[in-house]
Amino acid sequence: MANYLVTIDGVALYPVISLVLFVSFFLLVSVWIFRINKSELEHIEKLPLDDK
Amino acid sequence: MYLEKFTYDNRLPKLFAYATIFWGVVGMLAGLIAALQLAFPVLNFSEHLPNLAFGRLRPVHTNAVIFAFVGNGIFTAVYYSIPRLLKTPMWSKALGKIHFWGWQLIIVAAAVTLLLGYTQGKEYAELEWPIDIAITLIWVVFGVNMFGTILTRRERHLYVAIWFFIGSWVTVAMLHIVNSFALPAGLFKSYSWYAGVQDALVQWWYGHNAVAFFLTTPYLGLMYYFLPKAAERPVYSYRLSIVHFWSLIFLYIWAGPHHLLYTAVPDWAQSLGTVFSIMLLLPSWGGMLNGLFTLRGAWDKVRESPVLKFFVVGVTCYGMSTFEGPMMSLKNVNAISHYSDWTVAHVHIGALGWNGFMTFGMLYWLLPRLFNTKLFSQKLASAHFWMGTLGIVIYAVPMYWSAFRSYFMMKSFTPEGQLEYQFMDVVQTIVPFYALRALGGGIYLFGLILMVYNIAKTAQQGRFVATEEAEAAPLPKTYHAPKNAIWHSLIERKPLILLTLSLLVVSIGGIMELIPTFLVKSNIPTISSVKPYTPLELQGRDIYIREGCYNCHSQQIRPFRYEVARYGEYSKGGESVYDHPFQWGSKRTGPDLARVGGKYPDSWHFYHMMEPSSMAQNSIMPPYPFLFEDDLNTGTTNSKIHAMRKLGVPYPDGYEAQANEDLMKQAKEIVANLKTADIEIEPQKEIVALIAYLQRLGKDIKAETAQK
Repeated sequence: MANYLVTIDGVALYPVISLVLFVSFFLLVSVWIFRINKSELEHIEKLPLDDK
Repeated sequence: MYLEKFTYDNRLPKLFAYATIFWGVVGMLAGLIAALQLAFPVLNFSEHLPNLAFGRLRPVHTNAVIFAFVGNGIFTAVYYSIPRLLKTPMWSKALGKIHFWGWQLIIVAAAVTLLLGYTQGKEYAELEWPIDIAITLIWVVFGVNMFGTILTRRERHLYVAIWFFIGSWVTVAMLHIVNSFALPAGLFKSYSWYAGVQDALVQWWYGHNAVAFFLTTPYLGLMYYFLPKAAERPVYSYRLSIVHFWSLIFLYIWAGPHHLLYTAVPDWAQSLGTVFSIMLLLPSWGGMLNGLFTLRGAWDKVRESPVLKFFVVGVTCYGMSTFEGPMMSLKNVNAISHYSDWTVAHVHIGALGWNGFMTFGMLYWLLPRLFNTKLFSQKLASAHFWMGTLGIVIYAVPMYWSAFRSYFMMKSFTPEGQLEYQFMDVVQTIVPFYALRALGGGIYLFGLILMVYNIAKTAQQGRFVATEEAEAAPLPKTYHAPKNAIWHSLIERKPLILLTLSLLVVSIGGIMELIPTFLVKSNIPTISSVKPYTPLELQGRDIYIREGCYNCHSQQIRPFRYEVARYGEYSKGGESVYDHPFQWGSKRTGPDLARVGGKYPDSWHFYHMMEPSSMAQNSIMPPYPFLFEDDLNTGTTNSKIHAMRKLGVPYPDGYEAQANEDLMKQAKEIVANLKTADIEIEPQKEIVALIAYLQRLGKDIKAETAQK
């Protein structure tokens, strides 16, 4: 039980790190979806309809 | 091109579908009885036997609906859709059967042990450690079978529904393992590895994400597969579904602390919970709109098809509860909603509307196909739809009403500055709402019974198609991704990378929130006057946990004037450092107990546990007469003290040898004290231990104030 850090200096950094992480992640995903090849996309979205 | 022949197996989807329906009826019936118990306490039957009282029945209801009804619903969807999306049979029939029967056995074991009072005392994770281990094993079996199928597929691309299944599988595994860490102190008794604030954070990180990754993401997989099928058109925007998936799993995992606003959890963690909950609104509504827009130009079909009706209302309820959730995460709103019936209404919009209706839609679509026939009666299905919708409304509206009513009553002060209403005054006025809620639930359940009949008739008139022939080309060995498809080929075609990336994405939130709380001492200020429980109090606490008292009583006072005036000084993190598991609760059907110690004499508790309404008129708490007859099992004291010390509770070395002596000494003191009030009871009875525990609650910090 004694292995605690003693203070919580810089905890304000946590929300900032989280925000930066999410925004960059979101941008990455956005770039990704707009680079998907259109014909592939059409193929994928029809997958549930074509199972015979 | 060379085509390989193979078959889709329909037996397992059928079994899972039947199990979904069966456990749906059982789980909702348990819920209906629990709802009626709150309106008519006589239905607890606890004068006759201990097993059916609300505190034990409510976990049966929640576990049955979440893990049995929705769980089997998920597996129905997975075992039907994955082979068809990947053009291959499920990898192993044997694993599929082990999965099915293993899961049903776990459910039965869960129901039996919960009714017997074996519980870890953490909401939605009540099951004791042997069952937790069984769940882990069966979950692995499910995962191996799913990944075996994915790795032997004949379709290169993984449709988005499968991403949701993969993400759900890996996250549920992580949540279950981390939250269920416990130290056994017997075959069906264990103590949470974590205590107090840390236990609360881990528990609600788990609890919230059980909602997210058991009730939501797998059902989004279901939506992305069955909604396009029923509407006979592709999903509105596949791009949106990708954003939906990644942002949802990224954000969800952070949101847990919104269950702990205004508690002793550090402020920064509460704020993170709020911020991420608000952000969750965007992907959730993106997903809802994606579902609804899939029906663009097909709304005329909704009029005709009960399947689509269920889907439309189901997806709308998803949108409603994912709007409501972020709003409830705002601290000012949460001040009203927390501990109140609002939360109950909120989860039932999700459970009845989203999970229930999506399941019914899927089953009405699927079962006629499994039996190669048409649905027996569209009219009955429509009647089911309307009864379900009406049931949800009659369930939810009284709960919202009751929440606001009790909030305004609880916080009202007389001009002299006294609390205007006693807790019992509030209870009395909301009992009629409990009766109405039960009526709503009853109507909903009756609709489900109509479905059982309709589906039985459908199965009767058709002939079961055990296997379906199919053919597809094998995957070519080499593949050249089209131009601009680099991201795509990196992740979306590689299931193991997808799995790893999902795990990474969902770990970030947990790591960022949990680790600082575990490492930084100032997050949980210790209080020198807080001491470990005496052996008798510890045994009493285990009775409190066994009877599920936390289902109605919180032990966490928020820093509001009306709470402090009613219950005493607001709760500090340091007060529950020895609480394995924490018992802060999430609902106040009864009053908070954090500082009940010393508030009433022992005799009050004695009579109150025997017959609550004798001490608090109109109380809806069930009586606990069996505690006065049953002897406390002191044979467990040693192993309990030993386990607690291992978890870091500072009992002196070798205290086990002396513990039972101390226990009896304290019990005799209580008995002597009761005798002054003309009460005769033997010291070894369970009630004595429970009184010891209740009288201890909140005392430590009072002692400190007195010293000062």
